[in-house]
Amino acid sequence: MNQLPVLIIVLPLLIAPILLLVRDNRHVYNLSLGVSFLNILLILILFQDVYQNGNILYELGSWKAPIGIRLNADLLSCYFLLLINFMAFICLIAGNKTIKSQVEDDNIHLFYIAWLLCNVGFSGIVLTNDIFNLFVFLEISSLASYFLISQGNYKASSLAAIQYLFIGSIGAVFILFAIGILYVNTGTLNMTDLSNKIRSGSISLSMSLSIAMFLIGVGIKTALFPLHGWLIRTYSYAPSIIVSYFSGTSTKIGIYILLRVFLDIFNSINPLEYYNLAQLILFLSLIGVLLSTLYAIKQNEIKKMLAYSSVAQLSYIIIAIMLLTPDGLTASLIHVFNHSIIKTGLFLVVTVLFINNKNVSIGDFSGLGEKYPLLMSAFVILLLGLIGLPLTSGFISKWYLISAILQSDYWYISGVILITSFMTFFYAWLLIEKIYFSARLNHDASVATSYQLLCVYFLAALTIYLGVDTSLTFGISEQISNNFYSTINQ
Amino acid sequence: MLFVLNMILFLLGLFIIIRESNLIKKVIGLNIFQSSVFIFYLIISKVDGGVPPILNDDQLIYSNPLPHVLILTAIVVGIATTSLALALIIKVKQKYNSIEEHELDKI
Repeated sequence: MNQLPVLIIVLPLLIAPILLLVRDNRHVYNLSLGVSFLNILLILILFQDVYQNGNILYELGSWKAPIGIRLNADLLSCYFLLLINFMAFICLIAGNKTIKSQVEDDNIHLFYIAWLLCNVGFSGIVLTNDIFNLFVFLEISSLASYFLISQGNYKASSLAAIQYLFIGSIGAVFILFAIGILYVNTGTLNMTDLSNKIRSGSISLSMSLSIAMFLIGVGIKTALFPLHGWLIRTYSYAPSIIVSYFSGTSTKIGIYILLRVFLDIFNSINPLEYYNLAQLILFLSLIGVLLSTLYAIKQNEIKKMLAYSSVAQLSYIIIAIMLLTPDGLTASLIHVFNHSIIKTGLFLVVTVLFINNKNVSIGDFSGLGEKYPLLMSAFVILLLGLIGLPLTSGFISKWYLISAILQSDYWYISGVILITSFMTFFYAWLLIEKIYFSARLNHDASVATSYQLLCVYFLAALTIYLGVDTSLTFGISEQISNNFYSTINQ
Repeated sequence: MLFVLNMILFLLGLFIIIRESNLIKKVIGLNIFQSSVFIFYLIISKVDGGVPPILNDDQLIYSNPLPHVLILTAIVVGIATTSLALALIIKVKQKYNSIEEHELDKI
């Protein structure tokens, strides 16, 4: 039996308590970096294996599937797994210096341990094939992330963390309730088994309650409009490196759960279509895109601006899913990958430049183009990716998004996408103007170390690379969505 | 009937979390909210006339043990959440000298 799926979860989970004994900040950092590097190697091997031979099932403790817990590494899990662990690795490399200056000295080793646990939770969510296990991993990652957010050096950091704790726990309890109802109806917790047992005829009232509760829980996790308030607060007050990490992972996990629950577990009743839920979410997301882009223009603080832009981009992803066509799903998966890279890159630039993490306003960027020409050109490339100009990966996602929309029943939505893209251009231009055409201020932007800059350059290069060669993102996304829709149509 | 009572508890907990401004009371609300779901799992696992599932020759009807096990895990998660919340509230209190949310938002 292939041991890779379980190793990816267990390895960091074992290392985390050992790090608690090590305590020395330098060693803890090196070890966690080493573990996440090892994890990426394992994931690459797993990915290749899954890509060639189909999905890998791993029965924990050799208990057979419906009774025991099973891990299921299919193409969708591997896609998200690679994304999450890659982001964790990049942010760990780039974060070392900023963590030293933002987190209290006594807490730094705990910070890395919580980071590892958070990543274990994320990896567990995407790998598990047991729906209760998904809840447990969700809570592991959430508890770790509440701690990580509370470690910011703002006065409001703990407040943001506790507010996120309340809303996150509400979401998790809704998911727990939904799982309970599913269990009553089917008598199983295994996802494959669940999707076999839920048949079109069996939509009862309790099943619709379960669907509604899943929707609320997942909606909170994905920051679905109007449940996005927590995202703005946590992104504004968390340590800046954690914001870079979460912008690429935490909400994407919500997208994964959405796909897994609504398109995999419920695939035979297809609740999104059956209850017209897709239309509802589509229009909510449309309002979300418009409003959050407007808010992003209004913000003077760069982290808040990027947070609102995250809500808008997540709404694009959700809109693409809610078209309920294979093309839409492909577009959304492409955008998940591309947006993670772009947004993590943008937040990393802010992290790297402003180590003290005080409220960074747009004005603080004045004249930085002169001072750091290379870093700022990387920043501009990432911004152009956010707008979706040609030759960047953002263009590829927008292209597939719009062509998917035009082929669906909702062709008129493409107008909204175009308008909001222009609005994105507007706030990106505000930044570009400050960077290149404003007089230099006496600001406190600091010089970053070379390997931090390397991470930013790497992400910017990746943005261009994925805008030219789409075989990784498009090829795999298309295969995943074809798999999904071939099972639905059966 | 039990389910109705359970739903009342569920909504009550949710209402307290949303409505209360005191952070400690919110944590209490969160606990009620979580407990209602735990109780839901216990209700569904009960079989009429069932006994605890301990291997024994005379009794053949036993309650479903799986939800109990699941809830044991969920209770642990609940305790962790509560303790983390209380720890965070201590930090909030140290920084703001208040735990009333409507006062905190003004500062």
